[in-house]
Amino acid sequence: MAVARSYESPHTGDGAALADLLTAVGSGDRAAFAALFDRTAAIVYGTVLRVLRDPAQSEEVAQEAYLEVWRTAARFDPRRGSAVAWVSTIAHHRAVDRVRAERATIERERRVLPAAVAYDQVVESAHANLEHERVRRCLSALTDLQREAVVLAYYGGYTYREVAMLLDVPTGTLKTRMRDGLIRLRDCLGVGE
Amino acid sequence: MNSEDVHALTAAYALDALDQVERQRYERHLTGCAACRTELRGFREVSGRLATFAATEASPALRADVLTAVASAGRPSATPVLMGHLRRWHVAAAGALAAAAVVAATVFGVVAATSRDRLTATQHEEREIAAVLSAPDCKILHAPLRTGGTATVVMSPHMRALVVTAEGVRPAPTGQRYQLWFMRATGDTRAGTLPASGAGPVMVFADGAPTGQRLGISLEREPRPSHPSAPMLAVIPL
Repeated sequence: MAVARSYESPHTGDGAALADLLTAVGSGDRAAFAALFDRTAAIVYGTVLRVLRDPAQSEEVAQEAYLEVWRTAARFDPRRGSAVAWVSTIAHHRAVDRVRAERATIERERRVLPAAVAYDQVVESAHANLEHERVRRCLSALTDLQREAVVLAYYGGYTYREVAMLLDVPTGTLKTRMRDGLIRLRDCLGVGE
Repeated sequence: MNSEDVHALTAAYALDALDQVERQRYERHLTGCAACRTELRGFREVSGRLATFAATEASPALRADVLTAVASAGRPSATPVLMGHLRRWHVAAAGALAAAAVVAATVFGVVAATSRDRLTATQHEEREIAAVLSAPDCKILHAPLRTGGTATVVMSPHMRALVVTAEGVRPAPTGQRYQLWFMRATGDTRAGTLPASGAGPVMVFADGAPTGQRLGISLEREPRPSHPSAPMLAVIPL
């Protein structure tokens, strides 16, 4: 399979096919698993890499994530969400757990607040295609606080309390902005209910 | 934290932005809040798009490593999760029975249970039957009985369990029962009985992998012998 294929959006038209693949994986279909891997690996690896920053560690965590996908695929219910949401949720959660464990160590030793992830860094390296343009456009339609809240949490792996501290806003305000941000992204991207 | 605060955490949860304590608290809340589950579904799709936005090609080594790791991993299994879900969502006995009956109706082509044919299995049995019927490795086998009717076996080798049911079988005469047998090269062992009416699913657990054995059905007099004394009405290779 050509490398470029892994950048094609799994959300348009392909979504149903990907859900079928994941369902087949749940029955122990290893060929389906390989196909699912090929179509989601860049998403999984890229997400983990954003959070962990280290390529070697990111490959490790990506592998763990795919093992979890293999073990739990039978639970996937296409009526309750897309295959990409399923797979990326597993990967992102693992990446966040790992980075927080690391930060706990670093902070204990150096007592330094980790650098925040700048939105620009994410945007610049995003692969240019229609789907990315859409996400970029929807992100830029958010207020600064909404966007920073979402980006720092998702790509930075910070808890909402840490984000509130980084952005120097009350936690209550931050929680609301985070929710507002996701609601607007949801509506702009046309996903979910 | 009051309940209003907990609802407001759905977005943070979808972004994995809760610490361990708040995450557990939110997950407990989720089991009882349909509105949050709905909102979470939509937010998770947004997270999925954010993940796609970050897509980056990995080295070819990752593919090789992942496929190798999965090749030596066991098969995925829905069974423990089914049990877990049933416990966690507090499915009423009637609910589990209805679920099993619906699956049975689909799989066996049996007409939906009426009060006359209502199963008398315990709640535990109902869940176990449902688990086999929905096991990812389940195999379905049919065989006609020599005296009329059809036996259907749904087998999960991984669970080492079978669910046996019969349709169109005349009820066993008084003092007799339809006896199931595991037939192996080393001999035949009893594997349970069908209900007196001849119908209704029966759960059978195999001692070891059932694949390669055969399931026999014979009509035996009470007290039922430990070896078949009547001719087999059906023999089903598992």
